Amino acid sequence: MTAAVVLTPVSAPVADHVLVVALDGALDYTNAERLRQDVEAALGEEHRELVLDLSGVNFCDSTGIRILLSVRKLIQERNGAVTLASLNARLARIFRVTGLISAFIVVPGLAEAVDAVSARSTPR
Amino acid sequence: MVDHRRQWPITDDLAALRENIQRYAVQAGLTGPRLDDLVIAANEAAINVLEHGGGAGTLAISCDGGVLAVDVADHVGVLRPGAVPSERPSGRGDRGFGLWLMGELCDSVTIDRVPGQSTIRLSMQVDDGAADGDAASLGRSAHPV
Repeated sequence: MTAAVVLTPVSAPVADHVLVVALDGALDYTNAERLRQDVEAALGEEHRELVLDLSGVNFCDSTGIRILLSVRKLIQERNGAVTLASLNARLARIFRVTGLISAFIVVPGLAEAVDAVSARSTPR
Repeated sequence: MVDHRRQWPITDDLAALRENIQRYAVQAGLTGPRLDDLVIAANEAAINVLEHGGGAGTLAISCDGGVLAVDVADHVGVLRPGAVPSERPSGRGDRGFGLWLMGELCDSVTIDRVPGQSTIRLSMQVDDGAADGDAASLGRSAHPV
């Protein structure tokens, strides 16, 4: 089995309803379900926005994307969105080919992710 | 350049399998986005075996005449030639999604079926402009790496 993807909470200048988590490892068929459980466990009731820093993720297969889509569904039910930061070339490729890149907000880095969630949270 | 065939069992150690595929493909001259495409596609073929193909099989890789081929065989033999969808299936959970993805990523995907075994072949033309020059002709006389 591929080693479990490690979740690390990231302290970032964001509002309380935003959860920022860094993922490390390779996300595939053998460990994707575990990641779903870990992300769901990390989400508090107050969280309606999720930012995933993927700079430490070197691989993601179709099963991994499926799991991220199920996490997205959970966040959407809270009227929020999932922001993905720092995809490497291999991750960007599978997200683009599958067309699922449009299901997420994809930004180059964590700073841009913080800007994106802050902009969405500002009352108009 | 490598031109000898290598083979590994498909187990739940997908990370090791991907490393083996990548190492071979790099030595064969595949680089950049096409290397990514082959590794993603081969991983999808392997998880198809784990998920739908009886849970065990073998992955073999070879390079002949400038074409890198990955053969992924299960021990079930249900998958039929012509099963690769040309359009993206709506359901992401079925076997068709992975097959469609392989078709998008590789130069060609073919399926060969004999009783008790289906084999998916993923083929990638190796770029002639690779760092090791005329790799195909050099490879046959070179020592295996």
